[in-house]
Amino acid sequence: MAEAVKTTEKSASERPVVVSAIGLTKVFRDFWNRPKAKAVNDIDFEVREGEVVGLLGPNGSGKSTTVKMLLGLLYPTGGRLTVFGKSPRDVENKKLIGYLPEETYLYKYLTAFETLDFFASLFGLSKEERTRRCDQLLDMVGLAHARNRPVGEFSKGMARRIGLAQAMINDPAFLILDEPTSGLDPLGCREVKDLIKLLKKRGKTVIVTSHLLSDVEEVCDRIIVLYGGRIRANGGMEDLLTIRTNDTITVPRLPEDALERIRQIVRESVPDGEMSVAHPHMSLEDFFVDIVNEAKKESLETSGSRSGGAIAEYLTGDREHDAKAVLDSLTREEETPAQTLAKKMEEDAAKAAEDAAKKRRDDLFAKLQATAPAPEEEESRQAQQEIEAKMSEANRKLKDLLTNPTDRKD
Amino acid sequence: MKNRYALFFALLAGTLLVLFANVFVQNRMAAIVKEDKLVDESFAAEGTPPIVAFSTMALGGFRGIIADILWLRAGELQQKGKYYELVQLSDWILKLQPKFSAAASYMGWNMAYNVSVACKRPEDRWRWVRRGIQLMQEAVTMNPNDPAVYQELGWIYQHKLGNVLDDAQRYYKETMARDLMFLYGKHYPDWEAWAVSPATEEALRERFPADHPAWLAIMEYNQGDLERLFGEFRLNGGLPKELKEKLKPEDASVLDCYFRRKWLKKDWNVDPETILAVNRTYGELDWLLPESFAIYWAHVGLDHTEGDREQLPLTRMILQSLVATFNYGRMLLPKENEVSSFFLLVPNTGVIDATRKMYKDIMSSDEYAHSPFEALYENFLIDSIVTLYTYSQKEAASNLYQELRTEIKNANSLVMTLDQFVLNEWEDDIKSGDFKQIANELEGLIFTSCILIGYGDREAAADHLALARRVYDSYARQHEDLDRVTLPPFSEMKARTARAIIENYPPEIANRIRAELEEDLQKQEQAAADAGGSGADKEAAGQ
Amino acid sequence: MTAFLAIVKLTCRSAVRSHIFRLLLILLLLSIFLLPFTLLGDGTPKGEVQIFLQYSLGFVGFILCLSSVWLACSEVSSDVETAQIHMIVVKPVRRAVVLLGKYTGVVLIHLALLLIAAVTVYAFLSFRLSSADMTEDERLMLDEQVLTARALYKPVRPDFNALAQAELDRRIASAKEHGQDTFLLQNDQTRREEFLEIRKELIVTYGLIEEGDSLFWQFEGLPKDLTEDDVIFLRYTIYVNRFYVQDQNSVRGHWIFAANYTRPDDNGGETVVSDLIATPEEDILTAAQNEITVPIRNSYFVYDGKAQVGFLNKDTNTSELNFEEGRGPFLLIREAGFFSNYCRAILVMAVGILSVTLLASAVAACLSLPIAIFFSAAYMLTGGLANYLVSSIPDVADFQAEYTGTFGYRFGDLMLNLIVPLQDFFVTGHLANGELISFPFIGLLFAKDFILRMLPVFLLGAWIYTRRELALVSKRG
Repeated sequence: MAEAVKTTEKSASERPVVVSAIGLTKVFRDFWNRPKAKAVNDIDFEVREGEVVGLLGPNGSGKSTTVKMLLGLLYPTGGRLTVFGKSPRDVENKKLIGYLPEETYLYKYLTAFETLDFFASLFGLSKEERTRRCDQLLDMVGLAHARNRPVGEFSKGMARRIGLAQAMINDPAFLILDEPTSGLDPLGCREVKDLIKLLKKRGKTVIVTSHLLSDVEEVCDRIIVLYGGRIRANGGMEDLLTIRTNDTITVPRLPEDALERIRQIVRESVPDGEMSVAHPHMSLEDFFVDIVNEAKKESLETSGSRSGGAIAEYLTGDREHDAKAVLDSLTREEETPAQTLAKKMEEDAAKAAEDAAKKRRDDLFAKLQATAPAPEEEESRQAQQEIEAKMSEANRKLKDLLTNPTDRKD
Repeated sequence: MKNRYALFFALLAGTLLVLFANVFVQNRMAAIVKEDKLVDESFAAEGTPPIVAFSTMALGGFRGIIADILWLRAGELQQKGKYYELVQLSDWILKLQPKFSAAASYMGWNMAYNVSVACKRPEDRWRWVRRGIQLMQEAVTMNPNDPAVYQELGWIYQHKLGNVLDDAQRYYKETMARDLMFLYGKHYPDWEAWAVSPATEEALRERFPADHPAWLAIMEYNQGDLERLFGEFRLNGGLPKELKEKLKPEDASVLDCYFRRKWLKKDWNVDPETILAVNRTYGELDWLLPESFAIYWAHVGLDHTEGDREQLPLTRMILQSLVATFNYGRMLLPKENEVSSFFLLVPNTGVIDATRKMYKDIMSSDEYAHSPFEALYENFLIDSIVTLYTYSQKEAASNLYQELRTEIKNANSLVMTLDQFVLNEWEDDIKSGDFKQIANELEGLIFTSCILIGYGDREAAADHLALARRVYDSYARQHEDLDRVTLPPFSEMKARTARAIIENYPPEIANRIRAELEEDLQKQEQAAADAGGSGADKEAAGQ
Repeated sequence: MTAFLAIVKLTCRSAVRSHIFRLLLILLLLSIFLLPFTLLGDGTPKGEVQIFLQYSLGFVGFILCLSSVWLACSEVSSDVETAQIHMIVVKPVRRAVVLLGKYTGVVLIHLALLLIAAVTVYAFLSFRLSSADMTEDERLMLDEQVLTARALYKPVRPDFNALAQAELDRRIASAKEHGQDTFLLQNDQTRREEFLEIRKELIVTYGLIEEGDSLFWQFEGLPKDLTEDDVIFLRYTIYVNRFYVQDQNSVRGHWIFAANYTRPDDNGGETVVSDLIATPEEDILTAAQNEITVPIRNSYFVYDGKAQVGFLNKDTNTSELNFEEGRGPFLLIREAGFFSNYCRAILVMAVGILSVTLLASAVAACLSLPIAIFFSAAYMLTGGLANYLVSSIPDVADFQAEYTGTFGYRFGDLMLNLIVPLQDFFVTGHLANGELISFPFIGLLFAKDFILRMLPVFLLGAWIYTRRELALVSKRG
């Protein structure tokens, strides 16, 4: 990951500028045209093609204002702002831009498909093209089963997914995502992040605004921190976050004497250097995703949004197969060799019943997260118990594998 | 802290002061409100439709604006000659502003006079006059104490329908008489019987309780659906035959009266009790004629108003209508109880006493009216005397003549006898008039005489003929010396007129005349045949 | 184009879902069916048909105008207020297209409703007519006067200004000649007053005919392609003396029609010969509206689009007969059928809906929902009142009106030049009277109201819509 960033950084200055803001200022006036609030105060920044920029800041720091100015919903009172070299209000430019607002405003009586179809038609796409893209998008965001349900009945997460889908209808070169992961379950978050990474791979430019700093941390190359309308920090993730004064080394579990030897080396190399030893943590998200994927393999269905998994084909563009492979590799759980072995055993065992039961499990699992209205409540209670049983089994197995790695190794 | 409370107490003190001051003003304001009738009287009066009460409450201040807009619209349309919306607009305006009697009066007058006159066909004209009357009737219901509405309503009856100024007035009278005759069942209904018959459905049920044979008959006929029975009654002009057969005669007549009075109330807003009162006060009126209704409404108005200012116009209207009734307030029909276009209006001598009383009341009460009214009264007395004389009421004529002599001290009356006096009245015209006028008048007298024969009043006919003869003779005497065209022989005039009537009038009338004047007619034919040549010579010589 | 159509479709769907809209639709249908039973006609079948047409179509038009204002304001304003519009304007759609799309959606819905209502009213009317029983006379009157489309031709009005001026000059010259007091010459004020007086007198006495006298009227602009099947009616009202309504009279007189026909002349060509043909003397009812058919052949009567009609007063009992201005005589020529006229009336109402929606969209594009509705309502109300003011106050130039009357008239006049009065689109009066709603009239209405006065407002609104900062009004704050 770090290497990838470094290479992009090298050619960053050579890539075309997507957004350029010089001395950007926005002053809100009251009814009598007196200045009321300076939301954005003389900020300068640039976003180049292919970057994923995170726009951070506490509430009221001018994030949304900046975003709205980018989209032409507000006009700067001072300074200069260009998008793709032109004014943000240029209509042609909008073909290259996709926007996911903080709160999705949808027409409650349209079905999911109709909503996407409507937004697609605003781009002037033909009917066949629209249908194709809408179907694919719905699959991608996991709402294919809710295709014909009015959007008013959707949960917040589902609405969010639709919003995401409509932001990408036109395969935009420049995406602006305002709080993309808010309202999504961890699987959804993971998918969104995967998607952003994929888009970056394809060379798209993305601006992400979020309060969930961990999400931003994972996907962004650069971050801009705003406070009180001014930029307080602007730079690459690596540059900003790396604590260059220390090193982290990840090794397989070492016996105590080996650790002691390493400690010695450290003390010798660096005067007063202290070494702390702890087990590395996998992120909770990873753990969670593992569990779910397990469950998926055992063919559980969810009635709410499913993690679709498959990126819409048209988004994957030319490098279809490569991307798929990349994505697969990204989404696959990071396993230790020991786990791989164990998994293989399990796979063999469950292969026969895999396809049929998969769907059912997914459904029920989603109910566990209480993401969708569940009319089949009795069924779910039963299934819930089933799941819990299976989960504890899986946990047990996992635990076994983790606590006794040396046995297997040796 | 202190400042805040200080303001509050200051305001409180101010409010109390104002409230206290209001007490002094309140009484005066209440008095003004009552005096000028600024607040609508309560709508608890019967007859006020709920829609009116509702609209006045619900629309609040807007009803004034809406009424104005409708008024402007009505005026605008009328200017352009588009009348078809007028009925609806007038109805709405009345419902929105029920107490604005001047507006209602105007609208009623407008429809009856202006719009009716713009129609060509008499049916259309009658329809518009009737609409005007109906609007006024509704206005009367909503403004029972307002003299203006009574006045307007009475005026439409008296002037539009009663007088002879409208070209279609005969049509109006005929149609009205027809409608009323159908309602009454006969020319002179038994008003007493009507007055004692049940006025409401409750009263009817009381009269015919559930076990009464009449009620049982009704139940058998149509399960006691009085409304439907009423509808049938209106359609047929009487009780359905099947039902009538089942009822005893006295019960049938009670039921009959009940429906008829209900019908009268519904269509003409008139009560038999009041009709009786009017008849008693002013004399037996012919209730097929519009003047009677004018008197009715003015009379009702007098009951509901007070003070000279309000009552004066109504009193005058009664007087005028009484005089009109006197002159031609009785309808003669070829066939009794059946209205035809050949109706004849003759004087109604029954109102003379009431009219005289009214004149006398006015002369004694109003000092300013005394001398002009005295002259009017004198003329009226003279007219009455002549009329009574020629309509075979010589005794009554004689009594009035006495009054003329002793109280009024009319010059002629002091020296002439009754006979001379009557002739003298006619002769005045003869002296001053030219040939054409005299001929017309004579023909008029003879015509009236013949026609009265046709309508069955032979005594009056004889009196008229006698007077005609005397006039003829008088003329002949006065102008025998002059070398001018003379009148044809009296009998010839008579026969000619009779023949004309026989040819143009319906058989009932013609037959009576023919029967009576058979002899004369034959003689005249003979004379005509003989004198065919000589008559022509005479004429040639005369010129 | 796809975007435009998509927005139209979306607006239609959104409109149909609105509760208020559904309420208005029900009200519309109810009114068509209930109105005939609640209205009082004047008692004749003709009157009932007229009042039915007038009020049901009038009501329909009124409700549709209200509904279109409400809907247009609601659609355009609420999108902006709820920030729904953000999702749309960040797409490559011009804002003007968005506004136009919403406008078109609202208009389409209301035109559809108008069509439904029009068909229903027509069907209802046909049904009632076929099942009603009338006398022959009544049916004839109905067919001739209501269920038809007759064009009204007014006689040429003499140039009163010129005549008054001529008279004034004559009086001044005569005064000079006789050495009389020439105060008339002295200042403009008295001259002007005298001029107005003369003019007023001329106008009032124009239609007066004394006994034995006659008066002729010229008609121009008549259609030149009349066949003998086309019936021409002469409508007139005579009054006795100058008063509007007198006690009823019959007066005697007769009409004279000018006939022009060609006769071969000596040179082998044709000359035009003029002749006057009189109807027999008859009794005519005064103050009543009379209609007679022109008794001579159309080819003789109408020559080159012109015709001449005269009246001879043969009444010995009255002093003068008067033809009030505005009451005839008129020539009425049937130029279309009732159905055609009905369709034209509906067309005019459609133009009305287009205009009103235009206004509402434009206003809603700039203002919030309640203010937009208020503004639209105020506009319509002002237009309506201005119309009343102008029509109910007598012409200031001809007569002297009091101060408030003058002010009201001037104000109304000014407003009418700026604002479109809703009354313009309600031509049901003409329809109910059997008067033709001509295509030039419709065209003029369209140009004057829609293009000249509403369109600029819409363009202004669209311009503002394009340039405003949409995110400023977001309720999220």
